[in-house]
Order: sequence, then C-alpha cells, then structure tokens
Amino acid sequence: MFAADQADGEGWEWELHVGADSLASDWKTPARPGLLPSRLNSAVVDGQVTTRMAETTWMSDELYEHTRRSRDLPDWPPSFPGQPGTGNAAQDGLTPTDNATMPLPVCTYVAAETDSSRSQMAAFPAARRTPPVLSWALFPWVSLTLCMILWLVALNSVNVAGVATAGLGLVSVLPVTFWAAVGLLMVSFCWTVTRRSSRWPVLAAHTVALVTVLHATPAILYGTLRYSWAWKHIGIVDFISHNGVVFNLGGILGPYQGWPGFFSLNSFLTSASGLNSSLSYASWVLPFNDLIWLGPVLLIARAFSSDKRLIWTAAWIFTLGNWIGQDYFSPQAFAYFLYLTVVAICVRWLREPQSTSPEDLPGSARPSRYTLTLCLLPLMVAVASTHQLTPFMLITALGVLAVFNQLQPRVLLPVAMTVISLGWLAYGARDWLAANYSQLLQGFGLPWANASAHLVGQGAVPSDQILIDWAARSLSGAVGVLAIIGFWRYRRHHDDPRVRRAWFRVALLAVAAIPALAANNYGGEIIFRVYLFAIPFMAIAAAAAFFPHLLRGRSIWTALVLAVTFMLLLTGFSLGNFGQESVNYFSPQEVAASEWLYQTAPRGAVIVGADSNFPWAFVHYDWYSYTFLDSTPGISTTGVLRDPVGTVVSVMKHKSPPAAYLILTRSQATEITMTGTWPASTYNRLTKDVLTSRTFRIAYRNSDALIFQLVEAPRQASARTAPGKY
Amino acid sequence: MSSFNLRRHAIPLALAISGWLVVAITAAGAHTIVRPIAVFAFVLVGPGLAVVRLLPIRDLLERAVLTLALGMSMALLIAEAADIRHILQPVVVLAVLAVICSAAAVTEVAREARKPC
Repeated sequence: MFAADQADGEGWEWELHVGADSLASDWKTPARPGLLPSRLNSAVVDGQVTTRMAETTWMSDELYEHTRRSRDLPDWPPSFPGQPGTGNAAQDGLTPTDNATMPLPVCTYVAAETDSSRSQMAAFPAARRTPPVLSWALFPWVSLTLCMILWLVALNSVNVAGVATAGLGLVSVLPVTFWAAVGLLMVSFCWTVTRRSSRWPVLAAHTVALVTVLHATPAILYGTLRYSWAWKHIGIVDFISHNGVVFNLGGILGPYQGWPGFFSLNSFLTSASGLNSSLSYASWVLPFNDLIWLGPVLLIARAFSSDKRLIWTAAWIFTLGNWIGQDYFSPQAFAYFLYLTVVAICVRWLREPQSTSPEDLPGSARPSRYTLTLCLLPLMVAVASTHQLTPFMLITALGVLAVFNQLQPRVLLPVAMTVISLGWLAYGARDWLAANYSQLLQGFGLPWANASAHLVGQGAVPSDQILIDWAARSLSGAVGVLAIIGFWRYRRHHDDPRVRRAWFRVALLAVAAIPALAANNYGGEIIFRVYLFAIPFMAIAAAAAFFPHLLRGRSIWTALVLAVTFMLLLTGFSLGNFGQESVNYFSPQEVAASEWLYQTAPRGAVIVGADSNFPWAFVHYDWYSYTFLDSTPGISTTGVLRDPVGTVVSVMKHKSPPAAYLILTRSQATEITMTGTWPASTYNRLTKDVLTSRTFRIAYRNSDALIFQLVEAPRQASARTAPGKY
Repeated sequence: MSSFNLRRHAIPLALAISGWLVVAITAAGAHTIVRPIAVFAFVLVGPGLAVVRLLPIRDLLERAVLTLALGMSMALLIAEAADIRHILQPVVVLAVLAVICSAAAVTEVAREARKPC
C-alpha cells in the first residue's frame, strides 16, 4: 500500500500508492526514524475517493502547510473538503491521535476516481456528505460588504472644509460611521484570520478594504492633492517633460536632476497618455503605493512562514503601523516598492541553502539564482537613479544578509548594488554632490543628534500637536515591542535550528537600516526613514506575537487580543497620519490662489511665502525663484519678528526681479502654528502688518489665501513678456 | 516540433500586439479616455508580464509583484535614458517597451512550440 525509504540523513521520503491507477504523492518529513504511518482513512466526497493517511510522525509546520496549500487541500481540521470537523474523535471517525485537539500529524490527501476505490464509499459516514454550513463562511463577506456601505455613507457626510481648522485634522471631522466601518472591518478580519478554514481571498479582500478605507478616503474627500511636496514633484515632472534631464542644473532643482528616475517615468506616462499634468492622477498614487507595497511585504512574510494567519496579520500591522506618510507621489515611495521587491526575491529565492523555507519542497519550480539576479538588475539601477537614500538602505540590507551568510550568491548582489549606486553617483549625481558635499557630511557619526533633528521650533506647540506626536511615537514603540515579543515567541516555539536560522533574517533586516542614523540627519527625517525601512520586518515579527506556531493562537482570546491591538494601532495611525491634515490638506481656494499666481507671474518673478506649505511650483519650476521666510538661509527669525514688513520688502526687491509676489495662505499659518516654527501670533502679526502697510497691494484674495505685490515694484507686472501657462 | 496552437499562445501573442497597439494610439495623438488607460495598463503590466512569463515562477502573487516591479523599472530606465539624451517623444519610449514586450513574447512562443503538447 505504501512504501517508505529513508531519503537522506535529514528525513524520510514516502511514497503512497492507492491502487494501480491512483495518484501518487510524495513528501519529506523531518527525521523521526522508527515512527511509521499508523492508519489510513478512506472516504468519498463528491463522488471522489479520498484517502487520508495519518501517522504519528511529525512534520514541520511550513512543510505541512505548504503540502496542504500546494495541493489545494483543506486545512487540518476540518477533516474533509468543505466539511468542518466536529472535534469529536468518534464522530469524525478518527483515532484519538487524529483528533483536532491533538498535535498536528503528518497528513495528506490523495483523491482518485477509481472503481476499486469507490467500493470504500459505504464505509464512510453519511454525515460527512452533508453540505457545509454556509452562514459562518459568509459572515466575513457580509461584514465586509456592510463595512464598505458604512464607509460610503461616511464619505457623504464629511464636512471637508472642517479639516482646515480641526485640531486633530481628518480625525476630528470623520463621522461615527467611518469608525464603525473600520471597527467592523477589524473585528471581521480578526474573526476570519483565526479560523482555520478561511482562505486567502477573504483575507486579501479585508486587507485591500483596509488600505482603501484608510488611504483612499483623503483622495476621495479632498479633491485636491495632499502634501506640499507632492505639488513640487508635479512641477519637477513638468520641468523634465519640457527640458529633459540636465544634470548640472544646480539650484533647488539640483537634487531632482541628479536622481531623475521617478520624474522621468511620470513625465513619460503623462506625455504618452496625453494628460496636461501628472496632477490628473497624483492623488491616487497614494492608495496605489500602499496597495503595491503589500505585495512584496506578503511575499517576505511567506518566506518565513506558511501560516496564513501570521502572513495576513503582518500585512495589517504593516498597514496600520506605517503612519509616517511617505506613500504620496514621490521618488521614495516608488523606490521603496522596488527595495521591498528586491528584498522579497532575496529572502524567498536567493537565500542561503541551509535556510528552510516553505518553498523548499520537491517539485517546486525554482528559477536559477543567476537568472533572478539578472532580473533584479533593472530594479537596482532604477533604485539607484531614483532616490538618494534607498540605494544605501538596500546595500545595507543585502550586506547584512551576506555578512551573516543568509544570501546566495553571497557577494554578487551587495557588490552589484554598491557598484551600481556608486556608478550612478559618479555619472548622474556628480555635479550635485560636488556642490553639496559639506551638507552630506553634516551629522556624520552623530546618531543621537540625527535622530532628534526633527525636533525644531521656537514657539509653543498646541496640545493637539503634542497628542499627535505622542500617538505616533507610541505607535512606533508599540510595533517595536510587539516585534520583540513576536521574535522571541516564534523562536521559543520552533526548535529546528534551520527554522530559527531563517527567522534570524527577520531581525537582521529589521535592524539593517539603523546604521543610517549615524550617517546624516536627512533634513531631520532620518529617524522616520529608518522606521519606514524597518517596519515590514517588524510587522512580520509582531504578527508572530499572536501566531508563533500553527498550533497556537486558535482560541477566541487570540482574536480578541488581536482586535484590541488593532484598535490601538488604528488610534495611533489615525492620529499620526490623519492628525496633521489641517497642514497637509489644501482647500480649493488655496489651489485657486496658486493657479492664479502661476498664470499671472512672469518668468523670473520672485515668489515669497511665510513657508513652503502651499500648492507651489507645480508648473514652470525653473521660471521662478522662491524665498521662504521660515527657512531661507540669510533670513533670521529674529529679523522677521522685529521687522516683518522690512524683511519681506528687502527679499522682494533683492536683485530687482521683473515681479515679486508675497503669498500667505491658511495652510502656511497652520503649519507654523503646529510646528512652533515661530512664536505664537507672529504669523498673524506679519499678515496684519503687510495688510496695513502702504508698501503692498493685494493682487489676489479669497477666503484662504492672500497674494500681495509691492506698490512700487522695481518693474511692475506689466513688464512681463511671457505669462505662465499650464 | 508541435503544430502552432493559437489558444495556447494567446497571452504572449496578446502581449506582443498590445505594445504596438498602444504605440499606434499614442502616435495618433487622440485625446480620449482610452489613451491614458491603455498607456498605463501596458506600461504597468505588458513588458513586465512578458518577461516574467519566461521565468519558472508559478506563484500568482510573486508573478504579480515581479511583473509590476520589472515593468515599471524598465519603463523608468528607458524614459530616463530618453530624457538624458533629450529625446522628449514618448512614442520612442513606448516603441522600445513594445520591442521588449514582443521579443519576450516571441521567445515564449518559440520555447513553448518546441515542447510537445
């Protein structure tokens, strides 16, 4: 009936034959010499003879799950396809060792439609042929549908204008129905993920729904592009569409010309599509990025475990923990996807041979290492030419894997990435580097100073902002603590040194970005970027806190603890990501003011703002020079505080431009207040002084924006020769 | 050598044709809703999928991620090279992508044709 051969020193290889014309199945089990199959059960389901072999031998969780998954077999229990097990050994026709409460046995199912096997139909209890209870299976789909209906209802009842003045941004204006939708989604997911019989489509649908609800909401509600930097990126795409890449351009466009990949791609897409500007689709890039990031994150999680609960929970923790808002229309978001993809391929296919993985099975299609390395080259070059920081994060990640012997080919990949990155610096970014090398060396070797470089400002910060900051920090800390607990619990429940060795890669990749703290403060953002590059791996480890083993985390308590954890993470995410929307949101009035400015301002004009938080530079980036009172070198805060009008006039008259404009908007005021850049009331004093000064005249005005020109400008706007068009 | 089976080679042939179809739509210069959809769909899926189909990868998610990453990376690199050379015509970039897509698709058809049915 069956034959067993000891395949090698590591385990047994079995071959099971059911009749002469039946299917054969083979698999490997860990070394347990002396333990033989204990029983063979046969049954008929839907006219097919199903033979189940159960034995007292043990196999690894990953191997079991992969065997079950690769053959599209039901989980254990239920006993048979579409038929939940009763948990009662006698009713299920199982021996005590097969019972659901017992440890997981090696099992496989072999189906064959043979006359000889059909004779065994009578032996199978009739109860097994009863149709499955659909109500529980439908529950997640019903709750998912209800959640989406609640979300749509919520979208229709939001007062978007309130975002501009709300202390907690979008959180303050979202109605109860929105939170009910997210809460229901979480409860449904937690219930679904802890059930054994749940399949990937329902888990994937919940995850996509989470990303959609969290990240598409602002895009749908606002109708305008979020984040002032995204507006600037639109302008760089526009510049490249008209001028191509000019490496030695210098100025504020310099860094973008040195790493133009993302902008070239969007310039091409915009032009080829016949669109006027990438503004047409930029708002939707944010949810798109969050969705595509999930792909490699799921692949990475699957490289460490085949437990679907761990994998999908990791995706949820990644989504909820990623509060830092780097998912907008930006080079870093694009490069991050490529970074994750390269790492995913490395941990799944280019791992060190002794590392175990659910994919390590006979018959698995496996591309050659060098073919895959070749496929990764375009991704690496794209990363190197797109973003300043990501290539070095990738070098570090690959280097750490290589140093700890977790990568094959061990040397080729990190060396290739290093050569590509340095090659690009020498070719494309040389001019910018030559002009800014001193800036690069600032902060080198000062990890603590770099990590706290984001803490700026001289004014008192509002209590809402303090709450948002603490919520974001607590969220980051909570993910970190969960990751440590999960890492420890997974190791505790897995004794196989090869599994532990593979799991070690999670910790390696999670800490791989930390050395960047010692390199540069990256404009005060390095601490956030390190978190961004660590969170996929922290999320996987954190998921293991709930599901450290296939046999653990099956109780209702796990589902409850998971739901409470998700609720807490959601609170942190909502405050951290949506809490500053009064800064990141631009009202249609602010956009209208900026559109007027760029339609009116002649080439060579000077544009002055209190800060850069308004829709700026999205067209003809190179036509204008910009001065921001809060951050331009040479303009001291004390100068602005002492004589606001005099400071602005001197800036606007500097170098006698053809025209000069001062733009003051609601979002600038909000950012200055929230960050405490200037002392309280300074912005209002500036506005009041300019309004009462006879030196300025109002050129444009609406409820959210004021644009001024000098009454005695060096050369008035009439001197313009080429008004801006877009 | 087995006989040519159109149904068996439907996907690679569709991929091979899709690129040139998008090139034609773009070259015609029509400003319709079809054009951005066609361009985005082809750039994100076409070349990447054509290359990934040459690899012995069967997992759906793995193929999807690699398709997207390879497709966008290739488009980025070609567009970047064109911008560096100041060739600011998107049709040129699309044509190069269509060539890559067609070459990969034809390779797949040729390889499959050598296999017995």
